[in-house]
Amino acid sequence: MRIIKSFAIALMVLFLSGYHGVAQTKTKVSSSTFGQIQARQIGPALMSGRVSCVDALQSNPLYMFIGTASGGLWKSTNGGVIVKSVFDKHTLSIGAVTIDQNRPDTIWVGTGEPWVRNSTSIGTGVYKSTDGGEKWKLMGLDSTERIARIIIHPENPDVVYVAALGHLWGANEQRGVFKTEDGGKTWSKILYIDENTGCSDLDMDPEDPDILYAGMWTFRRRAWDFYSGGSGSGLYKSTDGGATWEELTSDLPVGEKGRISVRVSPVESDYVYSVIEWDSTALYRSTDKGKSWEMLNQTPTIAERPFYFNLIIPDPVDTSRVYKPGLYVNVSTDGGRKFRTTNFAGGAIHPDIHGLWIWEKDHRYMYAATDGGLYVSNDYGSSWRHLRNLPVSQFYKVSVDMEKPYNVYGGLQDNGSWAGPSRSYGGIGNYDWQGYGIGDGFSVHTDKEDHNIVYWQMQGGLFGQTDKRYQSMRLIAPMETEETGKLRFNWDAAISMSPTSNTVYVGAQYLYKSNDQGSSWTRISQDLTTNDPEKQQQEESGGLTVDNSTAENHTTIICIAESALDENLIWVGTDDGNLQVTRNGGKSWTNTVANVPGLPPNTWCSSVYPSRFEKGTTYATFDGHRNDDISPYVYRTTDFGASWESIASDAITAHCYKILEDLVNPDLLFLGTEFGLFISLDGGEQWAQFKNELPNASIMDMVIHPREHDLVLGTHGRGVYIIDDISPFRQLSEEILASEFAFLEQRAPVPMVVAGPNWPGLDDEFRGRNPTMAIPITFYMKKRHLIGKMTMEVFDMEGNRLTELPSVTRKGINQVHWIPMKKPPRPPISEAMPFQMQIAMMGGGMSYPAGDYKVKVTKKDKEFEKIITVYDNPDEPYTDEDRKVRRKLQQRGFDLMEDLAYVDRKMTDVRKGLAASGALSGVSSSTRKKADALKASLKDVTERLMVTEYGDLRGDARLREDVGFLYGTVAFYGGRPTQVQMDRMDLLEKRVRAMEKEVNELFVASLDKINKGLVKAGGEAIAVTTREAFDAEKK
Amino acid sequence: MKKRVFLSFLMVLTAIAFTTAQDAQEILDNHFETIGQENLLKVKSIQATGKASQMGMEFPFKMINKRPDKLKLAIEVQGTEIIQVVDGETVWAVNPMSGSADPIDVTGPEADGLKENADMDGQLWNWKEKGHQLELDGTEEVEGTECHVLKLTKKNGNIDYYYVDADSYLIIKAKSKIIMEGSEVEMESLLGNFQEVEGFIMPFTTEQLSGGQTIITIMIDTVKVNEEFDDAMFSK
Repeated sequence: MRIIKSFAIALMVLFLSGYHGVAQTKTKVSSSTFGQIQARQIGPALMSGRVSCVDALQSNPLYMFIGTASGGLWKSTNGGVIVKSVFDKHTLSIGAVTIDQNRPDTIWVGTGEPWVRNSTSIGTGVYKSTDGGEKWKLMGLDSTERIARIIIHPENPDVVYVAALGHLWGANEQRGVFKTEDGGKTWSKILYIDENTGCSDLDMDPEDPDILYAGMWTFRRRAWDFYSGGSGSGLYKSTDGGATWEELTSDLPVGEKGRISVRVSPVESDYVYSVIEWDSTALYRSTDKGKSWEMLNQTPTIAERPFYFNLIIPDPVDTSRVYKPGLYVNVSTDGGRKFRTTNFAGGAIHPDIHGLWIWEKDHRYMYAATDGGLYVSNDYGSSWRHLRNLPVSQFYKVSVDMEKPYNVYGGLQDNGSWAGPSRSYGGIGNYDWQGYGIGDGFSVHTDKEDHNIVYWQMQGGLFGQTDKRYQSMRLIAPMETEETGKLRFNWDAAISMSPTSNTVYVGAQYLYKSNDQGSSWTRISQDLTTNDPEKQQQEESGGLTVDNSTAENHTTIICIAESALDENLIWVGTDDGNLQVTRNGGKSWTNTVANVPGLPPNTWCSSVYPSRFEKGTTYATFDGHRNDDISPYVYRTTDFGASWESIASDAITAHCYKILEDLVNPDLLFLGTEFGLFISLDGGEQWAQFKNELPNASIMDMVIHPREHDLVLGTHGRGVYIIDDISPFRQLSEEILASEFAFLEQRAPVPMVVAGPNWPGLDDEFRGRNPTMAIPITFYMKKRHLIGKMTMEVFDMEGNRLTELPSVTRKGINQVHWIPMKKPPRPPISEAMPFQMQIAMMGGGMSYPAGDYKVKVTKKDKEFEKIITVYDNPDEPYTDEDRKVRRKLQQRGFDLMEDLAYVDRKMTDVRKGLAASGALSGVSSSTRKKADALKASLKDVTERLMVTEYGDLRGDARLREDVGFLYGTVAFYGGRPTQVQMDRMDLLEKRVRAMEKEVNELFVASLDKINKGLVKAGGEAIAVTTREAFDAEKK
Repeated sequence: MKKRVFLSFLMVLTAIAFTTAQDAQEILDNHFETIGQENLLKVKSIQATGKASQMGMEFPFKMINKRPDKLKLAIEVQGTEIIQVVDGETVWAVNPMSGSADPIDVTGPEADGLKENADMDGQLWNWKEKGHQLELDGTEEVEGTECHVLKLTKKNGNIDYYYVDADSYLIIKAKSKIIMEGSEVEMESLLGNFQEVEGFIMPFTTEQLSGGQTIITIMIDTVKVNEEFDDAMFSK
């Protein structure tokens, strides 16, 4: 009985688990499922992006690390000519980087930018590398969120001090000054004020490492305001390595203070500088290690935007020189009393300076970290060289057009609105990008009907339009009327193009619609926000230093989406947490946010995406990071918002900016988060991060190109990435995921005309990779193929094997690329390889004609087959007839080269035969004479056949080179060859035939006789390779 | 182009040598047991032929490795043969494409790399005696496969990383960092198509990458073991 019962229970369990457990038996989708599908970065690096810090080695300033606001950490060993990102596996927001000057392989990195603007990213603690940046280890302090400075004890590398600012958007206790004495294993908090106050700057006395100075800062940002200042702010000093601290007050401002910087002169340790933000922000200097202070300067140069610029850098050589990075690089040459910009004589540098490194051996040499990348000066900052290879541009939004190749559009923090091609001649370079508009950049779109019209916007809802042809600009933003009252536009205000028509929408607190390219607007909603007056006091935002740049504008619309299935179905999300829908083109609106489960009130609605398959289905993301909440909020409704379900999972590690449903497979979803791109193959049940070449960048926006089916990602910190052709993802059904091997369909790379500037040899310029022009052969494997033979071969449709393709197979999606080029002809062999032959052999070969080909994979004893297609470039203006003529001419060149190679082979056979030891011993003198004469004749022919002397640039050309050059250059042009080329082929063919004839006649005239002589003398006749045998070798 | 083929090929060979190469030693012991290192130790010579594939072009090659520390590598580029040889002590090469068919001495990092290749057992075998330092550098996922990372700091200061599949103990990826004239050059290879030859296992396919992009792939067609080779063939 008991047995039966257990059996029944077991059965039930089995049944239940089978029923519920589709998820349990499902193949786990992980980052490795995406296998070999890679993202490629296309820049731009022209304007680069915000750099937050920089450090270099004083004994070798070419060895440097560049920390960026949200684009990771970059290393250079040659002063920035070549840079390499070394921190992509971790957080891309860098606050501080410090090289151990005595052990350059040791580098400490504090993550989380200290320049706390509205769009700043977040950090995840302190990291250390001991191998020059190859590998990094998290050393703790993981909830500090942002680090302003790290100082390594000059004598004991295990002692390290960290200035932790702490959370920007909320209170937390892991902030202040931390110290480790065991290389980062354990930390003690050695200076702490309260949960709202962090350390904004820290410095050490260069002569006495026990003396420390710390600027403590009370600050807080909310979605609708910022406050710098509070009772916790103050300047502190320790003389015992941080065990005890004393607040420095003598001669310093009393009352509420804000952000404080403090630095000691590297040459005169009695000199301490501090910029203290208060009612009258000023620079103070002490010449007695902080005992007494003198106020030196109170001008706007010192006082500008302390939350963004409060930094003071004493010169490492000359105490009269002090630098104040700010809007510009400012310098004082009288110890801090008067300041001017360093580049007053005409040099140029991007505004907004966040870091300055000066070489102590030659203080003219310096690095400056700016909102527009990193700069190098060798003349005290009078002039600057920009690093043009740092692709850390910070996109807010991204869009595409339908040109061929298509362009990518988007706007950048402090760096305007841009468009750049998805591919370009020789790769996508800096100057392939074209700028539009003014101000910071956000959404940029082209008009659907007129591709010359580009919509752009600057901060605070100033929408504009540029005609590409004339760079004319017109502002088209709706403005307030008596009826509307003051309009509220977000910093990154919403603009949206209808997916089906040429309608444009923009959002203030109301939704506006235009059918005439923005010339006129119709308001189609009431105030869709909470209209909370408490959150509309931006004139007072900033705290001690008022700062109202529109960055805190709130209670506004921030996303708009018209359904592709119904133009009257429009969704709107607001920054104060409303998610509104109209089903009648704006006549009436329903706020559905109350139906969203598990969502804290007033959480910023970061994106909304109506399904293209079901009218009632819509996806939305919410971003709580401005409430100090980085949980992922991802939802779906299937009933127009009457109910919402969460489709987030634990795999998603940070707040979310954007969700996209695929254009073809509704189960395929893409999610942009603060820490990278996530993909779901099953409608949101499982999520996995897509990592291949894509760092943990902040994916603020993305779009699927409707023609190319590429996923285009706008990252805030690493520019634009493209995942070419996402169709393999669409096919990863449950069945495919569980299979050992399955071919996946992928669009063939459609050849496209790309012209543009291209010049090699620019090490110091970024160049984005083009998509491959090779044919992808794509397949999925559940497991890596490790042991045993696995091959992939390509055949033509007649079954002739064309090639075997190399690959190391891996788990997930595999891509093997076939370049449909024939093997080059076999040339006559010479040790010299003049350029004509290089063109023939490497430059221009013969491609296989357009059409179908067969691929066969053999995996141990199993075979899998698939048809793939090669296409001609449909945009090239050549007829099929043109292509045929070219192919025929190429084939003639190919054959001529092989004919010559055969002539060469025959001569070589004879030469070798005659040269073989003992071959001529015992032959008659007449045979010997004939042999000598033949040798001389063959030498003569060979010298006319090909260049035999070394050297690329001898300028020689013989018959081989002439044929090679013609054969190679016919390949350059895809259309009909010129008459000159065709005539030339005729001539060369005559010359080849003549040479064949000459050699044959030589052989007839003397080889037979020589052979007879050889045999007569007891030797062997010289065998000459037959043409059949020669051709057979090829196979 | 010529230079790149040449250098890449050198890199790949380094990778092949890698494979004929808890705590680091334990992982290493497991690895050597898996690949049958004890059988490899008995091998006097290995001859491998195959092709290198780069950007759709194929270059046939032949490699002969003979104990002790002799290596001859011949690669054919469009009818021209490039040869690299280690005769146990010195390294020389013939590269007609560089403008001369005379043998030239190879020195510096290139020679060091070739000498390492000539060591049939790989740099991990007897690493202590070879003056290297070995440490376990944690675990890392390589395309979905959990791997132990072995960090080998070589006598000359260059560093190799070996990614040992935690299940099979085969090395599926190798990375090396070489300092050339003060600049770091990083080379990465992915190894696959493992097949058994006379009791030991070697990868028949090696993909060489730079910056995440495949530069060249080496495919071995045939391997012959213990063929007789005259020492003279390794002399200049």
